Amino acid sequence: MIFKIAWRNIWRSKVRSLVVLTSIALGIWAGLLIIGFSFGMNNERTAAAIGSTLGHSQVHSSSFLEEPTSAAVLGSAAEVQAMEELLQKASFVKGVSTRAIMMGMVSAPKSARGVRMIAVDPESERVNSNLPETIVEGDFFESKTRNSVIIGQKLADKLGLGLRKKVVLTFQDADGNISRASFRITGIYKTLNATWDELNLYIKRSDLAKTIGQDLVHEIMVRYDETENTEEKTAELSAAMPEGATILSWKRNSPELGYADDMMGIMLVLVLGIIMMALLFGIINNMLMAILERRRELGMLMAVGMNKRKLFVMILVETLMLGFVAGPVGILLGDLSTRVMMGIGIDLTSKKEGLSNMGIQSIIYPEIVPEYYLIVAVMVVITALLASLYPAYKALKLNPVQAIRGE
Amino acid sequence: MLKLAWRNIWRNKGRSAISIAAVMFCVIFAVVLRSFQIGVWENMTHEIVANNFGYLQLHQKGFWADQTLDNSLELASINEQMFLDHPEVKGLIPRIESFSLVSTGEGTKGTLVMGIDPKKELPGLQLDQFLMEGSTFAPDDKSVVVAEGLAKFFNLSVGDTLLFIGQGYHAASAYGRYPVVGIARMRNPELNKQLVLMPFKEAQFMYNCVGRATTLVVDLEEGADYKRVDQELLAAIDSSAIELLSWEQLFPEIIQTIEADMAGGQIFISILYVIISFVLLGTVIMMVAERQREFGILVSIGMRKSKLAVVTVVENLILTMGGALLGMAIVKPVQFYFKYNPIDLSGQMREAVEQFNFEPKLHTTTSFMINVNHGLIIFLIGSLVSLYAVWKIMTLNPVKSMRS
Repeated sequence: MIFKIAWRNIWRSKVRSLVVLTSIALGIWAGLLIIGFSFGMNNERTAAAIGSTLGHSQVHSSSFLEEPTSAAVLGSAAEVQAMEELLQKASFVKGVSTRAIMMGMVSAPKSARGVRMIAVDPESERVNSNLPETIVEGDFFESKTRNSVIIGQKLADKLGLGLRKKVVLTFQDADGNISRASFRITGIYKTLNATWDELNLYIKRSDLAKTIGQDLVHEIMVRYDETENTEEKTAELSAAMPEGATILSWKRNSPELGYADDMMGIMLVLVLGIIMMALLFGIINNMLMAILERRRELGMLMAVGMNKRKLFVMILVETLMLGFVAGPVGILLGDLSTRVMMGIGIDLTSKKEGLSNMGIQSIIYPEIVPEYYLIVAVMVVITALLASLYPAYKALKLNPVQAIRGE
Repeated sequence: MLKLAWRNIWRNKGRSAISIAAVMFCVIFAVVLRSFQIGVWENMTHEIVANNFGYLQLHQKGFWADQTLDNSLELASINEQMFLDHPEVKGLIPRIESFSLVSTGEGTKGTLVMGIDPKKELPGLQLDQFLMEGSTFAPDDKSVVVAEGLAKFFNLSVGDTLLFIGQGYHAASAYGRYPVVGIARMRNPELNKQLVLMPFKEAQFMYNCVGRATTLVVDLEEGADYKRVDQELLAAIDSSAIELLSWEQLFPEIIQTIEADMAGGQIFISILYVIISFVLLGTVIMMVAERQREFGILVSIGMRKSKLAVVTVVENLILTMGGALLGMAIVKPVQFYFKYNPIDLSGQMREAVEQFNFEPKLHTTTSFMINVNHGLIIFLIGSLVSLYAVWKIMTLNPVKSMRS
């Protein structure tokens, strides 16, 4: 019975219902758009980092994770070979690349900086990462030149160096001896992440081996067929790893990226929270006004014998019904506008430099995240229900006689 | 007419209160959101700039573009008195900033070396406040203090010895061997990972640049307007030999990153404004719907529609203004509260923020301009949506509306 009355009430006063309905739908629309935008921004950053630098997961020796010294190698050549084969047995592993990681210093004629040197096997990197595509000047170890180095655009700028210039790299071999060698810049790369570009430079593993007389492997980068379920896939590989070797997903290898994910979560909660609050008060206002407007009608219902509990439930049911209608409308609206913006992209090119400091592309394409549709919709409808509690309570306090008189 | 509007407002207190509340809450939410967006940055720049780098720095011309010891500044060439004569300048803080490879014998790492005099330094480098272990050095000591993160990397404790291998003034080799007397936690996470501090004199000696400094930080009095001081000093120095740079020129990356983040923030705030506009429109729609009868009666007893419309708009403007002013005032304590009791991020989130060079706290700004701006915007939206009421009144059918 209550449902029927509630349903009729909604239709009886179309304007009022439409206002509440639109509020709810807009709330959902806003939620979906913000989520789409945040995810788009973040996933681009992640995808770029996975593709060019991190891979989906990486294997290190456990001691390397504690302290990344040159001595913390993965094992002998045979042991590394065995690990590579083991990894490639999994159906979802598309490729692996081995790397040596050295902490050291790069000295230009006039200045010096602390850097992280990544010694790679060019052939394998070409297949397994899109690092070669990030080269903006020169090439990715195409020539046979001995001792060539590829440095980030940002580092090149900071050092005041360009292509074909010489630098001296200083590093420490596994026995703790310090070596210095002169390298020539044959390529300059630029990823989305300017901070990475400033700290990391690439050399050939064969050059490193010749310089220090040791062929070290500190890291195996693993690339999966797709980014989905990275944690599960990594866990599966982790079980097979020999003792002393640890495989970690990109999220844990690059805490700053993983945490950027979480940070986005916090900002999202803050922004969504504020929007929900605004919505809450908006709906409370409208409902209160509705109660004022409906004083006569509610008084009448009470006077003809509807008890207060039922009256209270009736108002809640009205809101809930509006929520059920508005939910799909809002989802549709949010989905459509996200799709439209996905096509166009939100252009922030004027802020390009700043975004690149944060590792973000300058055109942001929002993303559709269906997992959140229902959550947002439920959140908004609950907000609407909460918002109708106080007005419904106000309705209970009406004195039927005065209400009918319109006092 | 104003009187009529005013009476209307008081006649139906409940409805007026609701309208005012709607505007008020909209102002509050917009201001809170924006205060957080801006406050986080404001706090970060203050943290970095005022505590570590200073708002103004003096170098040899060309040093900032090419930061090498060869571009260091001859201290004798600077007329210090001229700076001290400026009422808002507290003093000049000399520093040597360079890179060096540091080794404990087992591990080696490229680090940032700073030669400073902790007694003269900015708050962020007054070492005795940040010591976790050991003590600080006196100006004539031959010892170093290591930042916490770096100490952890090397597994250092007080009493260990560090080897320095670097490049000094005019390509001289800069070798050194110093005992660690203290471990300090630097507030700036980036510095905390890679900073070694040594007495200014010893740094001059190790880098073979006695009588020189790479940087002179212009220490300003509390609350000084650095932009004005910058202008005034620029006029007085010989800008062909030395450069005086403000923090915006020193760290354009910070400005760029702030702008980029603001662009993102603006997208969020515009979405909030869509909601706000609708909340305000909703209030007006409800008001008009509720007053159909009243409007109908007024028109039928001879009130001109245009007059009625004006009265209603004035009424609405008064309410919106009241709400906006109330919101601007009420949100003030909220801003202050979060400025001094920032939302503290914990656990993993903390590290995330530190990676981006933030202090892991969400502050608000207390700049009143935000309140004024957003109060004004919302007032405008409020005025705009009252056009709905005008439209409704102008197309009113008195007979029908009286029957409703």
